[in-house]
Amino acid sequence: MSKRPRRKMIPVPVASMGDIAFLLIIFFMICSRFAKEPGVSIDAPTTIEVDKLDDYPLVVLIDKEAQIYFQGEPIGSPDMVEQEVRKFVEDKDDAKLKTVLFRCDASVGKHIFEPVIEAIAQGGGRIAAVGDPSVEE
Amino acid sequence: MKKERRDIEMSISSFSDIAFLLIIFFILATTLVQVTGVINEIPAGEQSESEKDLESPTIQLDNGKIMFNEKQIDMRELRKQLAELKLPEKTENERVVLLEASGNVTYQSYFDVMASISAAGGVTAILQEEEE
Repeated sequence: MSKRPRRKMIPVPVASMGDIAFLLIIFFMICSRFAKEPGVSIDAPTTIEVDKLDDYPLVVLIDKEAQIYFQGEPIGSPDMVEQEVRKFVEDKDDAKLKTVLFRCDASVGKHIFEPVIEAIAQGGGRIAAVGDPSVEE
Repeated sequence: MKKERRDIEMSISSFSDIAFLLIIFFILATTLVQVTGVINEIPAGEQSESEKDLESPTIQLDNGKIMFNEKQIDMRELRKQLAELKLPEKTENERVVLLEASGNVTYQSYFDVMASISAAGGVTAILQEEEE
């Protein structure tokens, strides 16, 4: 009767597993992009003709209460939006860097959003208006 | 008399478990948001004399009503009319579509019109309501 070969236990080195896992966590944390407008809720308008938008460096936002935000910070008036956009845009040549992501609540009235849109245009910004695709029609 | 030092070993075998649990948490908690919308080239400043001479199509928004060249139409019809203008084939000045909002207009209807102009290849120019 032949003798069965004795099984050898091969230990798997697991000491470096923790290092790998923590490296992955650090990678995820560095690659994450945090929202520039934390805590502001907005019902975006909808339309059937929307495109995918890139990640633009400037964000102007108007919330339900008609408060204007520039880069996540409340800002007083459309004039200040114009100044800030102009400051940022004046030395830029690339159209993408001149584009301002404009988010506005669908229920906001014309007397609030129109001066802001005008201010962005006057400041030299190109407007990327955020909206959701609609399922109607 | 000197006390005998004892080596205390820290157990690190559960470190990787904790780390992988954190990774799983990050992966599950992440939502990949794709921002959608429309890009609008809104010209700044006043209209020049040569631009004033051009008869640009005008869209008026007035309390929920849409007027295209002073004729009331609905959103679907507006898209059709704008497509018929064949704006992408025209020069930059000729691609201008004037947008005037008056009365109680919400951003929803304004955005819808801006998106239609943009989709038709037009350039939105905002007409300010005359102050009384």
